[in-house]
Amino acid sequence: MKSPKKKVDQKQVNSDYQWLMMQSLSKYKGQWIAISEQNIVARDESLKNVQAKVNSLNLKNIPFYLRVPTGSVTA
Amino acid sequence: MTPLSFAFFPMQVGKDTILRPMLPVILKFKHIELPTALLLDSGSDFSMLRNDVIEDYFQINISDLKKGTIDTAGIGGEVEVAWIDLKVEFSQRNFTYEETIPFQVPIKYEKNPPLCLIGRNPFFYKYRVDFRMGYTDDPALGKFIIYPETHKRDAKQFERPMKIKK
Repeated sequence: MKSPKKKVDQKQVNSDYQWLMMQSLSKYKGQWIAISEQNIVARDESLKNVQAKVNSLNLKNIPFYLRVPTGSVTA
Repeated sequence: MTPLSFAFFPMQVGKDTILRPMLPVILKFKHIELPTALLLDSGSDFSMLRNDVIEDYFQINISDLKKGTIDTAGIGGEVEVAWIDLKVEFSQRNFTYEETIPFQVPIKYEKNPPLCLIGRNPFFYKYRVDFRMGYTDDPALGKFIIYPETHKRDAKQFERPMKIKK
């Protein structure tokens, strides 16, 4: 898979992160999601598959990636 | 040095909403950048990334990295890990900070942590973090604040624990 050569737009990342905080992520548990311009543009259990989908979308900037955990996180 | 303030990230766990201190960051290795969020985990000794982040996104062969074995209580017993240094950038408004942080990466997929995280060493030596879930009487309005440490106090004024050698 090719390396992402696009740049990160910090303003867009902050805006997408703020938007993501307002969303219910229950249906994405155990999955990686990619967020671009306040949309979840790809989702899959495999980060590789999410990246492949993102690469096929020809987005302007690198999206924000997050893995949604399945349960509580306890050390 | 300006402090940065972030809201806790709400996630559903069962019927509850858990608030987590997730720090939005850009992870960087050479020319590759990954915008993501890391759990700011004051209970973890070291920082840790999932191995799919390293292998799939950054396209680094884990077998080429320096290896180690750690006794990791959080993810179950002894875990074989590799080590990698990544740049971590975080910012807010017009203020940006960047640190190089050594991350552990589990070699086996099943030993991956549920979330990528920043532990104490070395992040908490460089930044003070206030977790203020009681900022108001509504925990959902809590925030965590990151202050760059300025190391103003002279270390000679303090007694060093005997066990810690220079």
